[in-house]
Amino acid sequence: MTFNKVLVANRGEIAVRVLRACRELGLETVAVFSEVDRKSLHVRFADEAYPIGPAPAAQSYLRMEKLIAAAKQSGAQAIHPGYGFLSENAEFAQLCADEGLTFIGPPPDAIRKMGDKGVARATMHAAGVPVVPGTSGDHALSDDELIAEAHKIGTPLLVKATAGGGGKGMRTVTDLADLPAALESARREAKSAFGDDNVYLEKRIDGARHIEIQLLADQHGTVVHLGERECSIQRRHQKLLEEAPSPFIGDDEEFRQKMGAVGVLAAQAVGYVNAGTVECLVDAEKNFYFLEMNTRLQVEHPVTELVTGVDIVVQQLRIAQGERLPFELQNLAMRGAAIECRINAEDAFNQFFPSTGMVREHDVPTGPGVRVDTGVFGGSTITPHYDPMIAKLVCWGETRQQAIMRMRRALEEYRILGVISNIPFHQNLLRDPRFLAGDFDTRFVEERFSMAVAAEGNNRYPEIAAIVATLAAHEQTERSARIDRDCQDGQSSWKRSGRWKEYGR
Amino acid sequence: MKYITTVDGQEYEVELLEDGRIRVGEQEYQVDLREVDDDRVFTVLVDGRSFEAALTNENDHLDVIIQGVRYQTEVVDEHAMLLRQVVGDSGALTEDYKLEAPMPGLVVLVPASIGQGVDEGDVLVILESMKMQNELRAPKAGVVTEVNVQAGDNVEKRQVLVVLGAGEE
Repeated sequence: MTFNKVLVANRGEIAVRVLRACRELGLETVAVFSEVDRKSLHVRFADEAYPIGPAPAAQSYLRMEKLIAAAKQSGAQAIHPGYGFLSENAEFAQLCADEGLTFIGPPPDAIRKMGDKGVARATMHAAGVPVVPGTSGDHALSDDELIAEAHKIGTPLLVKATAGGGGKGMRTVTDLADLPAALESARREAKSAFGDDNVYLEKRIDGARHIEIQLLADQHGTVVHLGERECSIQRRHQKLLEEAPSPFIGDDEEFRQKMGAVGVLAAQAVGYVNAGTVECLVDAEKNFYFLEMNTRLQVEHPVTELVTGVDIVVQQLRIAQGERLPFELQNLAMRGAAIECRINAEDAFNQFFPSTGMVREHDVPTGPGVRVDTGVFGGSTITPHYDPMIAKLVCWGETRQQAIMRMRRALEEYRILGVISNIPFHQNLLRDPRFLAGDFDTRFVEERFSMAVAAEGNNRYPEIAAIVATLAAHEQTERSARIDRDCQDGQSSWKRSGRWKEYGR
Repeated sequence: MKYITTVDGQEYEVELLEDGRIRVGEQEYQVDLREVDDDRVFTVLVDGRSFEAALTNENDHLDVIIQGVRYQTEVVDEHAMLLRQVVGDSGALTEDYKLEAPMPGLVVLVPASIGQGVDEGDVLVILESMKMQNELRAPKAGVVTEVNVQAGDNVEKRQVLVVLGAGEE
């Protein structure tokens, strides 16, 4: 199926990312926006843009009929869903097909098979892909059935939402007495996040790493993998930093190819087409287990792009056009190392609580080996309606060491004012000896990393801060004194009070 | 002009002298500060050392950011400091702890109820914001004296959700 106009059914940095790929391929672009996103970058970067409703996603970015209507109105023949929102919604993929629109993603059936985690586990098991021990079968389980199964699986275990993703509806249980309460709260969160309260159980693999395989599959049966991404740096199952290659795999090319081959097998088992990712848990002995497949573009795809030189979004568009994957993508070698820091509007010193409000200034780092994907700019607002991501800061280096040094430099240059960001978290993490040694698993951030301890000794310039703060306060006092004086004189004061006195001349 | 400036809990006596000289504690510095971007970003030369500093106030106090590190500051001039010492700290009107919404969001669940005794770490309110459910917990043991919200309420940042009294010992 060919197309020359693409509607991007998303917002923020990923909408911008997809628009850029479309423009580079000479495709016409259509954006959609909610009421609060009228001035967003993705609207400004697109050839056309259409309003789709109020700020809450349920009334705008998740409204299938409005997206289809915008596609019809603009004459777009294809829809790219980005990540989140409707990207893993089989019903939406089906609706696009029924309306004669190309859904830039996998077929509805593949989304369905991977979307229900219970079905996915059963399918993978049957295809010979190793899965994490846990409940089996592909039907909804009652609390009684789950509790009975839990005794067979043993603790520690995880309660997970079958419709899940992103850590929502997930609970850890170390004592079976806590299971009923965990089931209740997991079901409640799953219901609110996905409209489906089915859950399943998985044995928790301790000391495991979260490593995922990037896959590309064309419509002609060719499936390739682009190597792995290390995603073990997480908090509450939210990824914070990703890198490629994984320091755990390093130059063990044999293991990399073994994991890659299993990823390819998983994709083939469901007739997968387009870009997708197989997430695995890898234990200390290099046993690995299928966790789930994300049937969409991942947030962290840029790290793979930087070490392979492949533009994954461009490949997605070409695959959707019916093109064959280029032969060079077979057995592609990684070059150098890449790291992505997710810059979120979260206060790392206060339980990572989200920070909302207007971004007064957003100066992003540049220079060799630095890439920033963002939809945020000075004057834009971080609202509670959408996720708290400000930007993805991605650095490439010839070695992991160089990538880390480059990232540290970039984080020092990064300036965001108006909201609190998690930049200090990344700065501290990038100085942690265990992180530097590549010695971490998925529970590292929560259990063995403390902002308070890591931040010690970071505040190297308190005297400089004291000088700046004092001069600022001094100027403020002087200024209000001047305004008082001028008001008494009956003169306009703006000219004299509107400027900072430059100190030290 | 003398100021008492607190940086991350540490007090400094800062005196603005003549000709761009500033005394911080015992140490004197030659300072050249220029504004780069209206009232927010400055370039500072301190005895030849070059810093870029940003001023910001997301937390209701003036923060200074240098090389990505945030310094929490408070500046009081010496007269105000003297006054404060004479009058005494005006705070401590009440021992109550007010749980405020740390961000706007939707109240999902309110496990706290009036008259209930809670332990440190007990969940008082579950607030959904940015698609995440955040458990707001008691910072210390106490008794719930006020519950101002119920499940389904939309709340603004800093809205008081629950009040904890010190409770009988």
